[in-house]
Amino acid sequence: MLAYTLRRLSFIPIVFFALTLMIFAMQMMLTPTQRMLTYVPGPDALKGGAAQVAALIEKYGLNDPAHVQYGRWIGNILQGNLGWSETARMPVAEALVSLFPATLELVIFAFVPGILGAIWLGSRAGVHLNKPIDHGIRLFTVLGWSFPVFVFGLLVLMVFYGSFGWFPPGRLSQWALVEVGGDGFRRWTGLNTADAVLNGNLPIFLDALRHLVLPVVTLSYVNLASMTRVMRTSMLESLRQDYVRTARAKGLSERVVQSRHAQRNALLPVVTVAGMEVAAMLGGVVITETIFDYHGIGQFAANAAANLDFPAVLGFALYFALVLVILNLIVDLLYPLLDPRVRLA
Amino acid sequence: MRIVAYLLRNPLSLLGILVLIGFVAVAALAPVIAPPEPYQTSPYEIPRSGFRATPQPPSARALLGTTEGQFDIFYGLVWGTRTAFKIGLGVVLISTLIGGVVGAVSAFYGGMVDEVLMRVVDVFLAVPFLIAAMVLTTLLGKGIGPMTIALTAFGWMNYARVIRSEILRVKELDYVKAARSYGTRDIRLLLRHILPNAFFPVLVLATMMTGSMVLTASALSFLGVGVEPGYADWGQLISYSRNWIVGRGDSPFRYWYTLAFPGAAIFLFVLSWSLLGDALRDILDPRLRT
Amino acid sequence: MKSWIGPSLGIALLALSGAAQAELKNPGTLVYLWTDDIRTLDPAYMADTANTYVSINTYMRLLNYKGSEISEFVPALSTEVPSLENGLIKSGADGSVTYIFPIRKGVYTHKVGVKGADGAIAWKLYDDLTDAEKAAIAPGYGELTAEDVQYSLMRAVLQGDSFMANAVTEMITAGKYPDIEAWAKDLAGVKTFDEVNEAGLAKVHDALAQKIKVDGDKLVLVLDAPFPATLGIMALPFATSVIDREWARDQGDWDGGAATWKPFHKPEMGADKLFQVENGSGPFMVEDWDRSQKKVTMKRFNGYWQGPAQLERVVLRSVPEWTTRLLQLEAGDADVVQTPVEFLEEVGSKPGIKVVEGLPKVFGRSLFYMWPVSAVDNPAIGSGKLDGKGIPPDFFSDIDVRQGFNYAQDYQLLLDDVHLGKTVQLRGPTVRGIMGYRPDSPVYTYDPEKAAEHFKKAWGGQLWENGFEMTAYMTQGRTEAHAALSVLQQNLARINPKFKLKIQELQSATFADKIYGGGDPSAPMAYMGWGPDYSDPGGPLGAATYYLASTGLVAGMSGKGYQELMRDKFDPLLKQAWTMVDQAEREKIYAKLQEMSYDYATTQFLWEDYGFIVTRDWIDGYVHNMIVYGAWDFYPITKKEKQ
Repeated sequence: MLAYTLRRLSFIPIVFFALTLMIFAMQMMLTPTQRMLTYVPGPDALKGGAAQVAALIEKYGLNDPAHVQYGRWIGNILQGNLGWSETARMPVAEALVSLFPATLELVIFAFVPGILGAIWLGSRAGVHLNKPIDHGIRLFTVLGWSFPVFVFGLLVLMVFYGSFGWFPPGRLSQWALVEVGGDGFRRWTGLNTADAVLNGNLPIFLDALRHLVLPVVTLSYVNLASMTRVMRTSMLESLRQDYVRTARAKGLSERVVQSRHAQRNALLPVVTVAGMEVAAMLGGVVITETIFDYHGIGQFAANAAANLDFPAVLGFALYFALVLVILNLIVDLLYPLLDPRVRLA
Repeated sequence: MRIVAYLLRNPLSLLGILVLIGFVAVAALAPVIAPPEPYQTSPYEIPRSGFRATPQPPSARALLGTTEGQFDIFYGLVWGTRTAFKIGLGVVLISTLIGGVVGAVSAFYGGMVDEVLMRVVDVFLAVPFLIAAMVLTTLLGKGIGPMTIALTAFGWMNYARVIRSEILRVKELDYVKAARSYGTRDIRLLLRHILPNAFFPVLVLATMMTGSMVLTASALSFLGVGVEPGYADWGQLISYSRNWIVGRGDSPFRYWYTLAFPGAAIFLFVLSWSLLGDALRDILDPRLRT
Repeated sequence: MKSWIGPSLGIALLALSGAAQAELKNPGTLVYLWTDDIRTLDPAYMADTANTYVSINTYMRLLNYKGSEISEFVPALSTEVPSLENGLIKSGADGSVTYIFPIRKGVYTHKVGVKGADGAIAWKLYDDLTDAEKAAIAPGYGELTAEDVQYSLMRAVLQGDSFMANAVTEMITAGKYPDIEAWAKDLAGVKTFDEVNEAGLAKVHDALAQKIKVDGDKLVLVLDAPFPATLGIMALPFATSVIDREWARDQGDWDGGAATWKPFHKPEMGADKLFQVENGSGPFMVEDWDRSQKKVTMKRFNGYWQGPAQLERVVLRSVPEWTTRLLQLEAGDADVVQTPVEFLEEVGSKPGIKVVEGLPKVFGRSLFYMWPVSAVDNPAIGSGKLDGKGIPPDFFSDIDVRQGFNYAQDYQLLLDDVHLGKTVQLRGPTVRGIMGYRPDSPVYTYDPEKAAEHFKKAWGGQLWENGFEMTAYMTQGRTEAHAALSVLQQNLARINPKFKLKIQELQSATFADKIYGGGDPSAPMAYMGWGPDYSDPGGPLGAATYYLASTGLVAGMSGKGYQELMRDKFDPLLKQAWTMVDQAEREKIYAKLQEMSYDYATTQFLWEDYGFIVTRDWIDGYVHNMIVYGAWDFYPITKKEKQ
């Protein structure tokens, strides 16, 4: 298993290298003037006109031959310097590290109800194939899948914050922000809930939780829909397998047949999809973050993409690739646990 | 006929197919149902009855109301049907082609070729899709063309994988081995024996993805990269409803029509393709036959 | 999912009645939600309005603008506003002008250097000092002096990165040099800045020091020629902000040496030593700048020379989604929010929310004509000929074309529908409040007949015969720009169906490339806005110069044809007005220039930008000043429950 893990992890440098080439190629599709724009607040700030533009291009070496620019870039990266993100106003590495905990917190809280709900709903639908409950669940999944995230988000925000005032947007209330920034609070992980527990601070823990409710509900609803689909299909397939017939023939109760035999084996594809979902979520959920005023990696990446901040885009791509490889590895390592017939290649 | 029998037993699938036929009809008859105004440079520009931002409710002039900026929702929905088909089918067809070639070559020749091509697929899969699409559309500009390119460039991988795994499976089947032993040439083998049998899972995938492309396109519109403003596209129409979901203080759902109509169109489109996909899978996949 | 919308509608309506009546939250703290983001804490490096929200409140300048006035000043760090009357402005016989600023005593910075028992100097917060510690403040390490002002101004000029810093250079040299590099190159006699050696660096430093001098407790500026906008620039919250020299040095910034300034010239944003630290003397200090959360927190400075502010804290936070901002305003979690104009009516009618409208801005938006444009591979001009499928590169050189376009735009429709009657048509380079503006000066109105007349005359009748096809550019995301171009597009098609104007939205970088990339512009027509940074319309940075000088910014990007027109007709008058002293006579000339911009249809002037603020009704004290583009000075702001 160790050898297998190492072999999978050795793939990472190749992916990284290929990603740098790809993103660099995209960057070179722009003219030097376009690339220069990341370094100023906007075209309105180019009051120095053409002279200022030329000076900026000079300053950042944007006219140098492509291989020189690439060499400079990759040289920095290999030394561990991911460069400076103009859009985040800090080094790319620092941006990723400081924003990752926020996204992680969101993903952890959203993933658990999502996967549990999906397994339950998917099994119900598979077992009661073509009955009303199945149709209902299928419609629900398509609706969930096709209902734009931002609409759902804005609706829950309007009802639960605008009308009731229960669950505010953002990560913490103003008073909590002051306290967290002060001397009495020590940052361990960057996750507000975890840090509050570690500091023994109940009010802040509750405040952080309150702020997480709406984005978590929005996120898990989206995941629920797509994972339920997969679970249903997979459950259907597993219910038709011979060993299920055998289990029934043996006289086991239907409940046991479903939960211990069919469902367990149906989990494989769901785990795969779940892995991809988690990766996608860790890649940042821009729309949710935008609506709930929740600054995470998604907003950082989207901002960088929209402003063509290539060091940040690359840094994010590398981070995402790393997340993907690790998650795929975890999923693959889980396979044998769920299905003894599967062996690691 | 197996298909008819299946459809009669599964009213939901029948519904899906009928809805889809409905969409095709709307798309085909668009110039009749919603004729463009004389001064328009392109029929895909939604006519606007002014420039005020506040949406207007359904009226005699605008059957389904207007959205932010006074764009006619009815016109946008009708011509948006064409856009939905263009994007959905366009992306899926090109992705299938690219993915198909890569997957087929990879599976058929195996060995080093397979390793390299699959690594390439892995690299593309490692690219964060939304961000890459955003960068590409920012580079190429707004419009249906750049969006299609962006969606295809980072979407072909799944097709490659599916085709590859299917071909690998079919390659081992007896009749293929037999054909090979006769000395049949590679291309002929591929085209006449392998592909027709490997095709079905791809078909299922393609139908599902056609619907979901519209969703991704609408996410891109929401993020500000996508089609030009005022272009007849459901995703764009929905993103126009963004600031009006909260409505006014006294009537929270006052502007429901800016959301309900485009939302319903997207939902029905995705649903019908998804039901079609499910139906195809049920009909064509021998393993799922009860 | 849609099935539970019904019942929740009912619940929402019920609960909604209590919504915006929220009681005052976060007393003493003002929460400001916007969509902007600041780039740096270094006042010399700053280049945009959003950043000034921090610099206005944390750093002091020699002068301040007087309330809403854009040409009148009050003393700040200087004890008096220099004028001819009080003798603090002196005209020399050689044409030079000297400004004398007596520096106020007892103005401390937020952090001061306290000499410890071991003789080492540590920077501590002034507010936290005991009396004993206050006595131990090392001289020069806390109280601002004329030397600090000299250092700040020189540092800004030598850093020379932001446009505003270079504006100081331009002011100091009375328009002779646009930036320090040009000055250095000239003095050293070399072609590129890199060739300037240590001696050359010292030379330009000393030349600069000749112009910015310290005389006891006074700062003296010596300009070679009159530069009327001097006091205006000194009052702007950018590069003329005062930094403590010892503190800057201790942060690793320039030590003040004559030849050691090159490493600090044009640093990268993150390499700038003062990028993320602040130590000004304004009524607030930066408590925390959280760049990952896009949040700036400013805390009251109790040691401010005019007494502590009313607010204890000000939080500036970036929230991109409008609905989220609105809901927070209604709930009382936010006190001020940036609002799109289309929601002004609605927001104003909600209880507890106050809207202040009609705040003028010096910024104007227009469609700019450029000629000749680059003819090589240019998609904007189509075939490049007047054959109905394109335009010739110098399409707009024909005045009948420009006037036709100007008559084809429906300005009133835009003002009514897009701006909801909240602003006026832009009458030319100068806006309301700037010298030379006359409310009755001639402007174009929508007149399709006149437009047709001009089009028929244009290009010897060929234009009307064959029609044209061209593309106009704008940056994406501006609905008002798209509206202006759409209206023009439709009207042109109505006048002659062969007139095809295409609209292309571009991402900012791509747009900038079309305008600035290469020798000739690529865009025949583009939507842009310009606004001056001081109130005088003349001089290198004034409104009239921007638009109408052959060396002005608009000319710089509009092509050689435009430049020639300006050189011919406008330059002489501009020069004349700038060198005159009689304000009344100057005013007449600028008014004439405004009229000429109409006569020659140099640009399609659209509308003046306008401002408004949306706050909770418990916020009071906002003073609008259009020359700082409405940036908030939080010192006089109060947050009190309305009775």
